[in-house]
Amino acid sequence: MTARRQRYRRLARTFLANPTAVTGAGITLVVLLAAGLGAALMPYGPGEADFFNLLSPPSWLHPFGTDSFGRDVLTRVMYGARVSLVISAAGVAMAAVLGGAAGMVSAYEGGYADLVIMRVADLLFAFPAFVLALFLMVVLGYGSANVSVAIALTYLPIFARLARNMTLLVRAEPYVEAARLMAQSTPRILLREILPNIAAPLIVQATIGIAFGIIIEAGLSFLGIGVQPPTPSLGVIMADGREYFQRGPWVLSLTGLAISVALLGLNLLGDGLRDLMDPRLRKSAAQ
Amino acid sequence: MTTDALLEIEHLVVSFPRRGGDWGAPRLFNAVDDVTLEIRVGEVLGLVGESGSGKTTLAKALLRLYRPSAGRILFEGTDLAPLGERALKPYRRHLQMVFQDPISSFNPRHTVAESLAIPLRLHRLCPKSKIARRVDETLARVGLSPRLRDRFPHELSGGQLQRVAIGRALILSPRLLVADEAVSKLDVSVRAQILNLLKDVRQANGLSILFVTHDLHVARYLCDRIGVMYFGKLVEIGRTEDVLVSPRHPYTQALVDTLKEDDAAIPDGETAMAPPSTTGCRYASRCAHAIARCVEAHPELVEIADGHATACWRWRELAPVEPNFDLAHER
Amino acid sequence: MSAVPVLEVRDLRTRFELHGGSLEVVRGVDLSLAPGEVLGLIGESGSGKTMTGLSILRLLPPNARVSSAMARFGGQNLLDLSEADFEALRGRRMAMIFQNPVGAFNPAKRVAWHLREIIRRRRGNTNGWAGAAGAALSEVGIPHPERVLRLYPHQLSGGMAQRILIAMVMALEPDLIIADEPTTNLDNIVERQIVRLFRRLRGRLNASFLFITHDMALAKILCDRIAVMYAGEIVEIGPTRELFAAPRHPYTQGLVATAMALQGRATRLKEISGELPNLAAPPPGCLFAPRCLQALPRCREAAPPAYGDGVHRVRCYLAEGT
Repeated sequence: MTARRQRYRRLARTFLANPTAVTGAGITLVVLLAAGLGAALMPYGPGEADFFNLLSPPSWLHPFGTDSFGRDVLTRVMYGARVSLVISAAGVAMAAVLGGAAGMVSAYEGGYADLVIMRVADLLFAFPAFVLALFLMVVLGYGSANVSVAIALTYLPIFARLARNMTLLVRAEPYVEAARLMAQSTPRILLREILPNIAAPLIVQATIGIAFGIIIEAGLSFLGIGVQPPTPSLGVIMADGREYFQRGPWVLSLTGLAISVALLGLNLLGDGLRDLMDPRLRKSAAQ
Repeated sequence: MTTDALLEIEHLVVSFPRRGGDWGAPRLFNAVDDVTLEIRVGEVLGLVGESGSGKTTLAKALLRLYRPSAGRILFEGTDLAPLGERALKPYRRHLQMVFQDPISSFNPRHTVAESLAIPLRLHRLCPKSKIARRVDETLARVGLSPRLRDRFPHELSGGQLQRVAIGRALILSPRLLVADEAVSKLDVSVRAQILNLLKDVRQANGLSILFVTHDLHVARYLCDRIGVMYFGKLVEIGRTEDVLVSPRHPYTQALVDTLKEDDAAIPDGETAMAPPSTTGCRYASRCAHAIARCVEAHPELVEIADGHATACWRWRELAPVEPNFDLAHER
Repeated sequence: MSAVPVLEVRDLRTRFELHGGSLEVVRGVDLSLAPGEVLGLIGESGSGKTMTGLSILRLLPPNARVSSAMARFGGQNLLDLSEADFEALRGRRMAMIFQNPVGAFNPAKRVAWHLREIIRRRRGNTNGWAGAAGAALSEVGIPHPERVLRLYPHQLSGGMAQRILIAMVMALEPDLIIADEPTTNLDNIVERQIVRLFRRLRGRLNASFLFITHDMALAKILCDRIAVMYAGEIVEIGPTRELFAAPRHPYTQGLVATAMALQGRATRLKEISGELPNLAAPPPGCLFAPRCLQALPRCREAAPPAYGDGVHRVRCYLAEGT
């Protein structure tokens, strides 16, 4: 459909004109590529020990140095990034789908459904994110999958509330009334009329959510109650590096740096996407 | 029940909870307060009133966008008022609406063609292969080029979009079209186009139209009969020329006076500033002719002449001295 | 005109800088307002009438570029003034009444605060402001002023908010009042009440009004002179009675005909078919030519200049030789 293609092309052009968005997208892309393919391109395995180079500082052979086992830190960071990203993304995806759905239904139906769902969300909201995650790990047990669940439960109320507020706005629009007049069923209305028009802020929230999900995962794994070694995740590597920080500061520092870069990229991307949504809304409203 | 009635509303009440101004317990207030009227086959009925009169609420309740608190909505013998969404589905295609603001009445993410195709698909009125052609036919019917089918709502002007809205309403071949201030947000020159289109459409399809508006000129141009609403009550109803040329209710008289250039007769005060009593006539607090009886009980709708009814205790004494022939409808 | 005009603007141009280029929404507008005069600025959406008002008051967003060959206020050259000086002048001697009255208030402050601020601006102090505020509200027809003074803006109806705005304008006593569609969102009866208030306002102050509207009937009631705008230009300007009795520009003729038809006994309304030109890429020649039933070939080649005398001017080749 040419009109759609035109629209996407216009979107792309606006996106590319925004330096924040482009920088964010660029950094995120690099991070994703490193996480996805980097490890395969490296000559070392994540567990491969080089006994001749135990805890050696960064060099041409080992750009991030090696750890106490002689493992190449850069390779481990790349693997770790993949693990962290997957865990975080999975958790945020669960939160977005479940929370978003709950929020939409809550706003559209109103009444008791709204009351109940929002009070549950408030309950989850009441705890600071990390404390909640800690608590959940203790309850659910350690391990990567449970970290995802913890992240999901932490973010659920945020998506629920966001989806609810957006839906309340859209629900009052005449085109939703028009859809009801056409006898569109409620699930159809939620999916076809409401969801596409509230997706933008949800996507922005998801992008930023993944960034913070990485922090939560890194924190939990750093404390030893998240991802369990030998699986490398950014938090696990940092926990490692902390133990011999005096002798080999590069492990902890460079891993931390890697996390910061990933976070920077995702946050900038999220901001850029938000900018993209905003003036476009204003422009189309002005017409 | 007259034989040519399409839709009959009997003692309709639509109430909403309203927050008391001072942290009071939410009370119910009747946006539509015991209204009885009928819409005849093939007629254009105007519903005139100011904001807060309940005219839009009545129109939407008729279409079952709201659930009435009491009363009946009889369409082809079936009472639509108590029906749930599923039971309403077969009736929905016969009752369509054109909204005040064309831009917000379309999903911004759907193209014109999609917006027109969705109702066809939902009601299975058309085999898939023929949908595109029906869409183009509908666009032509409302005076638009089929080239617009792939545009998005924000790419069309208000006038064009309102035409699409009319097309979308017509595509299901409804029996009743509700136009809620359908031309208020359009420019004057475009208004003419849309009003002419509505006239043509009604002629071509034998459609009934309920035209909700606050603009008496527009009502005069388009409508066969006019009903005047004030604070949820129907205060006058009759043929257009009867109501505009010889209005019998003081409120209608005030409204008609706004059409004159001389504003000496315009009353002071407004609806929001003079909350009416809930037992007597709602207009009593602003009415220059109110007597004690007006505050005690709300007047019944009384038929004065053929088809012309008004709800005023003093209708006999308040006959207009000079009928306003400027407003006579030339047919 | 013996007196110094309150407002004189020559060749006002407003352009918006956008991603894809620039858009000129006001294209060379000349305006002159005598003291105590009401000038109507009539146009439909996209005509540039609101932009003209906002440009004069410098109330546009930063991506707007406003320029004019001349801009004088009561004889004073506005173009020489700094931002700060212009804002001081504007706050004290110019006022704008908006379409959406509630939006002109500070939502966190009561009505009383707003009136007090205006009185402070007018007199320099707030002595006895409560009495003055109450009197102002009564004058605009608000019952129980003491109660209304305590309300917040969101509690006001459109009509009430507009009345309060008019009361504030009355208290300020400016020289220039720009009213942009002040009654569009109001009901018939309230609208006529507000119009009545405007007349009273005009009688009390010796202010000049720029009355921006799309409602021909209203303009006819209130305005001494009317300027008709189309696509950013003034296509006709003249005394109200003359304009309605014998409009010279085809667009004006169409507008007047439609307005009269709705008020008269027509069975079929005359339409002005077509749409506004794309201002980002305007056609050569007269901007109205594509929709004009009386267009000549030369209309599409070059834009017509304004013909006529100082009183009644028309931007149309058909008026040439008058």
